[in-house]
Amino acid sequence: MNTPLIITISRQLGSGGAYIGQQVARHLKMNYVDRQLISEVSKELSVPEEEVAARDEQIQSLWKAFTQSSSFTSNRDIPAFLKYPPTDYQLFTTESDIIKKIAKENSSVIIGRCGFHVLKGSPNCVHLFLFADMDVRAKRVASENSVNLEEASKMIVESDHKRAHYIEVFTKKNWNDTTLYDLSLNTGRLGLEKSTDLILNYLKSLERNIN
Amino acid sequence: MKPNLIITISRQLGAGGAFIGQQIARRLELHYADREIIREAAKQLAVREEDIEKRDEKTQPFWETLVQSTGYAHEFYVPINIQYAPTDAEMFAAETDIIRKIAKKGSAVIIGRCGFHILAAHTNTLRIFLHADAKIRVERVMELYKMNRKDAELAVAESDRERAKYIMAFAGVEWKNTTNFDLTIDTGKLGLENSIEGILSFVNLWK
Repeated sequence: MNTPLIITISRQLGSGGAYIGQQVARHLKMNYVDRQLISEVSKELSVPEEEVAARDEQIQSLWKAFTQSSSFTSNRDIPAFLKYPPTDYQLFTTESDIIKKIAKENSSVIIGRCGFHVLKGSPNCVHLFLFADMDVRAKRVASENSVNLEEASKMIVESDHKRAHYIEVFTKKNWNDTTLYDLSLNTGRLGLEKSTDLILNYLKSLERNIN
Repeated sequence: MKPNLIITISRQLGAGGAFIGQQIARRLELHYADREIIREAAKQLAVREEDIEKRDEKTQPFWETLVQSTGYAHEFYVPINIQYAPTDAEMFAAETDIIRKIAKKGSAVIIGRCGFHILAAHTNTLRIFLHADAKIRVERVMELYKMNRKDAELAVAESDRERAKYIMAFAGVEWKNTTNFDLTIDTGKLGLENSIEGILSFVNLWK
């Protein structure tokens, strides 16, 4: 049996990543997996309750000890599970496990959640980054959320900051580092439909190159 | 009138940027500008091409700039046939001027030298960045420049460092930041021929 094709998409808010991901999944008859799906699966996962509690406690106390100690000053070498509240760290671990499981079983387009990192080096896996200029993104965010451009810009700046931080903490990588991705695309230059076409063309050539 | 089509290609050493750029230029019938930029810069600065070649897309070591700025002991470090060594800023200014002229004159593919930054405001610019895993780039450098593995590894590492420093000094941005560009491709994964097709596909969809 062939290894299922996996496409991870990392994207800036307002760059149309979700739409493009859905289109690509539809064209190639792949699963579309976004944050919501992953978190639902993660809730459904049955884990013995004592185990969760024990792990929780252990992490909680470690975290407390570190954050309360006076040496808690340098951001550099603090492990992710100490820097983020325990629940976030656990969530990340669980989500990573789910992503790996999905990747093993079904051809999927996986949006966000550090997919590029979790599946780094996996066979038959393609990592995309989608971004756009601020004005393009603000327009899209404004119309999708019925807010004005100023509010949309604020949401974007906040989201960029949050995502970059999340990725830095959990992967120690710079989100914008182009060398993390196989293809990155400014979706504002071509628009969403043509960006989708470009990605489909890209995947076709990639298949040629690998086979 | 439609503005000239400009494709800037920023690239890691060994990622196939020059080859891909030449093929794109040939297929789209665009002017190809690479060595020409340094040749013209040498002319403009009234120095010999060889004398600034080793400084192409690099910043000077600090001690050299120091000696240069104080004008101290010129004959001590400058080869006797150079009367005058331009500073990094002078070189960058000359190259900027030349790149702008090339873009004004006609459609072109421009390799490196902060082209993505200098022509960012030009409305019809496609900014490309080409990269590949170090392992693949080392192989390519060994073959292209007939180097042994160790030298090729050193050349790749040094070039990465120098270009990043150069871009930070003159464009004020991180070289590898994907948002500087419109399209970035891992040419090692896709292959050189397919990367050419990918870029042509972008240009076609863009029209």
